[in-house]
Order: sequence, then C-alpha cells, then structure tokens
Amino acid sequence: MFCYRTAGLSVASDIQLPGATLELPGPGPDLVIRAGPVPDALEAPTAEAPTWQTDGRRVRLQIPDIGRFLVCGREIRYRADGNAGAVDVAAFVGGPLLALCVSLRNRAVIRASAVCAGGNAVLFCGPSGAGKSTLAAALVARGHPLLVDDVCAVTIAPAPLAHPDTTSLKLWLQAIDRLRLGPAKVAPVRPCLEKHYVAPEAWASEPAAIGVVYHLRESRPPHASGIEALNVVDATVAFARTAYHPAMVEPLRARDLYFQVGAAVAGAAPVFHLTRPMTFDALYETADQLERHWAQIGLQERAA
Amino acid sequence: MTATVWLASYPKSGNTWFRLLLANLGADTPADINEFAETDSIASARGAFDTHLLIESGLLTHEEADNLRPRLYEMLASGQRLDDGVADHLGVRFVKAHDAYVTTGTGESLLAGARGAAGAIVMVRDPRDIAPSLASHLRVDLDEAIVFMGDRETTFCGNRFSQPNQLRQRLLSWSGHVASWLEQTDIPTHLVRYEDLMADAADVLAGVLAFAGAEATPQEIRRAVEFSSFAELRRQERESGFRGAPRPHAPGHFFRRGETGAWRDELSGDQVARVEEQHGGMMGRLGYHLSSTAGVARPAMRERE
Repeated sequence: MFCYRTAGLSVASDIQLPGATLELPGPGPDLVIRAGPVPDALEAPTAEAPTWQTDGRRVRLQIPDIGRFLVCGREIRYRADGNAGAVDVAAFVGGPLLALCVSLRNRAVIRASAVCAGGNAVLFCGPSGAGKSTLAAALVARGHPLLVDDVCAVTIAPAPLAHPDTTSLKLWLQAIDRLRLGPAKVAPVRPCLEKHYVAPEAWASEPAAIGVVYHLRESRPPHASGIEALNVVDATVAFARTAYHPAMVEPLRARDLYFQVGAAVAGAAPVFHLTRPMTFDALYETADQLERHWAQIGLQERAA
Repeated sequence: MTATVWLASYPKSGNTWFRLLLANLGADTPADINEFAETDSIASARGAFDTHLLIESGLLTHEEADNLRPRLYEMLASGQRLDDGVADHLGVRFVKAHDAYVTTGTGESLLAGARGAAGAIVMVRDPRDIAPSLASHLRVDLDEAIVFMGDRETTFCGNRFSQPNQLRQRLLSWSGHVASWLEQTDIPTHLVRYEDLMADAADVLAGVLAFAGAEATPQEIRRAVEFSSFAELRRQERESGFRGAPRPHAPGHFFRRGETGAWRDELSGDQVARVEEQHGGMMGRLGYHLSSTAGVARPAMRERE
C-alpha cells in the first residue's frame, strides 16, 4: 500500500496518488483506497442523479469508461472499467472523490487553491476554470510554498486551518508553456489529457492558519479590476457557495456546517473579491498586487 | 413540471438579444444587461455539468464529456436541479445552445432528444450578416470568419491545451448547423429569422411564446420590445460595458449594428460570392435571396410540430 497524508487525512491506497505527500505507514489510516466490488446500486438512496446515488452515509458514483466508485468516510472503493488505467482512476480519486470522502466525514471542503505567505494560508476560491491553479503557480514561482491545488479541507477548531492536499500543481499545457514551467512537468494527469502534474519549487506539508481569503472574479463589466473587502455576512455566504460538491450539501445535511465554518473563517481572516483580467499577460501584475496587499493587511507580520 | 425549450442558434444570430427580450417580459424597468449576463446560462456551461453529475469535466476528454451530456440534460429537464441560472419566470426554461444538433460517440443525441427538451426555437440569420459580426467577436478578419463558417469541423471551446469555461460545442458549418436543427426529428422546432425579429419583434415574440406554451399579454410584449431596443442596449453598454462581450475586451461593441442587410457595406463582392457559394442552398431554403436577386423573401419553410 502507498501511504499519504492529504486533505487532513492519513491515507492507505493500493494505487499511487500522484502529488499526495508520501508518509511512512502508520496504524489505522483515516481512509483506505482500494479496488473491490461496487454494487450496481445503493439499497435505499435518499438522493440520486444519473451518475450518483447517496444514502447519506455513502455515495456511489459511476464515471463511464473510468469506473464505479463507492465512497464512505473511511473508504474509497473502486472498480476500474476495462480500458481505464490506474492513472485515470487516480486522477478522480485524488480530486473529486477525495472531496466526497471529506464531505462524508462531516468536514467542510471547498474548491480552492492555496499558497503560504508568512506561514499563513492564502486561499483562492472559485469554480473550476476560475484560474486558481494558474494563480497559485505564479505565486509558487515567487517562492510562496504550495499548500492546496484543488481540494481544500477546512477545519475550525481550535482555529481556521487549511489542510494541504498535494505536492503538485495540475496545470494545462498552455499555462505550463506561458509560465515556463516545462522543466517541472512530471506526468500527464491522464494519458489522454494535456493537463500535467507540475512539481512546485516549494510546498507546505503541514496545515496552515487561514490568513486571508480571495474569491476570484474576472474583470469584465460591471466588475473592474481590484481587491474589494466582503463583510462577514457576504463572506460567509461566499464560503458556503464554494462547497466542493454543492449537490451534496443538502443530501448530507451540511448547510449549517458550511455556514458555521464560513462564519468562523470570516471572523478570523479578512475575505476579499480579487477581480483581475484572466490573461497570462496580467498574471504577474496580479501577483505583484497580491504581495503588496499582503503587506498592507499585515499578513507577513501576523505569523511573527 | 416546467418545460425546457432550447434557444438554438449559430453564434451571432441574435440569441443574446432574444433572451433579453424574454428577460424583459413582465419587467417594470429594462433588465440590466450585466445582471442578465451574470446569471445567464447556456447548455454547454461547465459548472452545471460538474455540479449535477459530481464529475469534474476538466478531467474528461471532450468526447467523454459529450457522452455524459445527455444525462445532464435529462436530469435538468426532469426538474431535478440546483439553481443552474436559467430563468423560468415564464413557466418555460428557455436555454441557450450554440451546439449543432449532433450525436455523441455512443450514437445518442448530445442534447438528449425529447428527454432533454420539449422543443427548440431555431434562430437563424443571413450568413452574410453573421460574417462581420463573427469576425468582430472572434477578432479575426472577414476572410477567416467566412472560412470558419464554411468548415464542418469548427468548434467553440474545443482546444485541448487549456480549460475554457464552457464545454466544447461542435458548430459544424453555418449551413450544417441550421440543417442539423431543422432536420432532426426528435423534437418540434419553431423557426425564427433574425430579420423578422428586427422587422416586428412583438409578432415574432408572440409566436415563440405560443409555440412554447408560455403566456404574456400584448402590453407585456410591447414593453419587453421597448426595453430591449438596440438603443437601450447600446446605452447600457456605453455606460457600464457588457459582460457578455468576448474576452479580452475588443474595441467596439457587443451590440454592434443590429441591422439587417449591412453586409452590402461590409463584405466585398468576392466575400459575398464565397458565402453564397458555400451556403446558397440553405440560404434559399430560409428565404435569403442570393445577391443577384434583390430583397429578402419570407421563408418557404413551415413550422413542424
């Protein structure tokens, strides 16, 4: 078995999870990932869609040509389809299925990337395609260690913490080329995709206190470029909206959890809209702007 | 259950304008074009796919995502959905689609046939007027836009090196796109010509609502037409810009001219000849007379329900 620590969980897996932090085997992992039988359906689903079912404790997910998955808080069991390789399965297991597992453990998990600045976590929240990984990559290249690429598990006791999920960025070829990260390219996320694992220059392997949160927006009318503070209420609502799997919030009765965690984060760290052009040309300017902003809000000093 | 009706069009055929007309039905003041664009949705939106199917489309090839798209549309049409940004205040979900009516690799309708929608409004526009508008949208020259419109392999969001915010849309050629919708036999269609919309928006809108089973009073329709006038849209775009414009922001306007027949000023004789050579057959079916014939006739095509 391969042993990892990711998204706040100790994991024992019979497939390699590229990018997750390897660790020595320990007793009783939080999560076991293994091949095994997956039922055709759950017996008493409380919610379902064409690709998934849940009974509130487990989720059964079917991804055509990839495999079937049965996820609970302690196990991700998979049965790969004929043509799918371990790498294909791992791409989903290490991302959306891991997020499902964290959700089933009644923990908040949001769609965010994060880097560390002054020992604090800087979160970039937004839907898929919002530019989270690319922005994180630009900041990592400036020496800010990578904390999270995609699956951001957040706990609030005793204080809001973001848990590391990876030691790799997942970037599309265009971003790799534009950021000149070709030499750091490790392997394709799936053999059929031009999306690759990219080794960052530095990464953080321990949870970090959340120092600041940015919700990413593209500068298109009516939103002009800039950094704009959210009040606690708006910040809490925005956090709840970044739940990794919004469709699971109601079936898993997690609405209160996301508001509770969102309120705790908004109470402990400033929350902003970061509105910027989504072009590579503007990326370095955005990174400059962020570093100036961290100095203004005292982020670097807060860790001292 | 709220019926779903596709608003199907080749790009730059008036789809955004028509949806603004619908958004203004029952409104007391003109709909804010940016609020509209921010909450507007399209069949190929990536977020709805990822959210409802629990599958990260960014980890799928275009072909794999296509194979799953029918499942999404069945689900949404059946009423099982989170807020997907589609307005249904008229009792009908009018959903924009730029996809041609194509099949997936497994041979089923990409848009799930009758399980995905009760019908389709097929919006068409004279391809000679689309060409300049498309060139402006894609920021290419007119010749490139004409090649784009004649190529059966063209797509939106179809590259494999980055992740666009929408799923890939196969457009086919302009003629192929229109034919794919009008010739499919899964769902009834109602043809709307941009030129007729310009000439009498109230009449066309009433026809669409009757087809879709939605109701509005003549006063509501009249007011929606006023609130969606090009003068009003250009005023709003001038004052605050338009979120729906392509990125990065090109000089000029999304709501460009809104005219019919402007191609006579914008296309060279050679360019007109190329468009007509490629698409003359479909243009004739839709009543767009070739340049040797003056005027634009009414379409000979009949509504099929």
